[in-house]
Amino acid sequence: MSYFLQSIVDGASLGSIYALIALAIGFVFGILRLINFTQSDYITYCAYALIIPSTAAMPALFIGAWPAALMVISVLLIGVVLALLTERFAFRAIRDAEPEILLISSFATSYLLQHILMAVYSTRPKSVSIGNWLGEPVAFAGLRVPLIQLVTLGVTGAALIALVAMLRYTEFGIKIRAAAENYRMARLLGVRANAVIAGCFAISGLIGGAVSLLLVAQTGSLDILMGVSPVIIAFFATVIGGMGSLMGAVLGGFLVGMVSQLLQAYLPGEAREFRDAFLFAFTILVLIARPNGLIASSAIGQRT
Amino acid sequence: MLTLRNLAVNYGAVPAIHDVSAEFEAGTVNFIVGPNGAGKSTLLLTIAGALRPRMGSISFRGKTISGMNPEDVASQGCSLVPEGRQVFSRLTINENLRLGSIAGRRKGGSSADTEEVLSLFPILRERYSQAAGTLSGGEQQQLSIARALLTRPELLLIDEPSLGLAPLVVDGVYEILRKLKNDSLTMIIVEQQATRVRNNGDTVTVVRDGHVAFSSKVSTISDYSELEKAYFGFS
Repeated sequence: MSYFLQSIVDGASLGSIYALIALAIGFVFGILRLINFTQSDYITYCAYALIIPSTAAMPALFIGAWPAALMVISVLLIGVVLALLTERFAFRAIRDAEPEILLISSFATSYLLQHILMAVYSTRPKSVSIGNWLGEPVAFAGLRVPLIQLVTLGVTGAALIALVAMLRYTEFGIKIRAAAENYRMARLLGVRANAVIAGCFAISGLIGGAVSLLLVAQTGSLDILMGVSPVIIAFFATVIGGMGSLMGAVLGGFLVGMVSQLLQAYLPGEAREFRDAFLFAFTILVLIARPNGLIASSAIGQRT
Repeated sequence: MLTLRNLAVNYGAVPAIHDVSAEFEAGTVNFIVGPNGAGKSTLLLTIAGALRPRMGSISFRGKTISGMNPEDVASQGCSLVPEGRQVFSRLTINENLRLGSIAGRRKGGSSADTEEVLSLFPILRERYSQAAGTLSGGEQQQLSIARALLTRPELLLIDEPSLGLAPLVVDGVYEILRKLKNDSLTMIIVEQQATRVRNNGDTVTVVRDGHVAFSSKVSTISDYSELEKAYFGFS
């Protein structure tokens, strides 16, 4: 029983990270119909900003050596700036193009950013020790849970609540929801497209920074591709949840995280290696049952 | 107030409008009528900045607005009530109206305007925090007009206000438009039929196959058969 509960806590913690990334993807997709794969580079760049540029396997810390509050703020800021730069230079000029073109451009930009990082840091994975104390297990509801998992749940929970409150109660939130439902009509009423879209990218960069810190604190390692796999799985989460629905993205994220952890816990040893294959099969099954995702959105498909 | 000069617009790759010139004066109600697919909606969307003209120019209160973004055209004081209402169905009525006041505020409006506008549409006040998608077609049309009024327009473009509404409901919509005319708001109303032109319009323009086939002041039309000929393409 406690093994099961342990898996549930693990699943919720992992799922909350997917939910957060799915939300970042959803914010941008909702308005632009752009599936932004550079989201993975926001995560990776924020993580690599922690160390001094070098090809060493045990690099010296850079931002990672700063006081905790300053480090967190700097990393989040780097995420925001990088996201705004990609919006300005990779996507703004082709904003009105077909979704396929936006998608290709997002792949190209992502590869470009990855290769720039490779040139500076090499592809060798690196280990960093930031917030080691977060790995200490604490007693929680009769279980022994690493503190980092509780921190992850707390951070993502707070971020989700803040984002939902922002969407519901602020004028910027109303503009985002309006633009997501009917982009052209929102503009016809005077909503500034540049401001709303840049705002959505800024939010996705902020999320990228937060996810990056949580991942580094959990794994203690850096890898050029560290952002790719969570972003792809989070993308599956948005598809399961229903493209274009932010609530669906959150729901899908938790579901995928939970299923992934339960597979990890209960698959027989030799099948565990293929956990992600089972996860993707699960995605396909969900989509066969509900082709539009769990929460179907009327705003799906072409931008209007 | 609004001048169109040799306007040509493509809708995708298809030419939808060619060589349209027209002049609309301040304080007048102007009808644009024409059969389905004549290019009427394209014309309004182009004026509102949602489509770019291929050739020609649009000037509004002496200022060239062709080539501007829709949000800039809106803050110049030209607002569109689009075909099919296009209210934000998942947003509340209040939120829909707040969106309208964004462009209005840029022109120096205030929340007092919301009260003034709502007095024209009592039903909207009753349902203030309801999702706009739950409103009936007629109510959505009212919301769409109210939302456009909150942008503080000098010129209101209205695309087929009677589309999909029962005749009695359409009467209600035109009742509101008459009140707006009395406040000397300039309007361009697109309709498929010319039935409401005689009682509500100052001018009428027939658009057919993307060009102006007929144009006249309503007061000087003695015989509507000429308008009908232009509409149906007999010459």
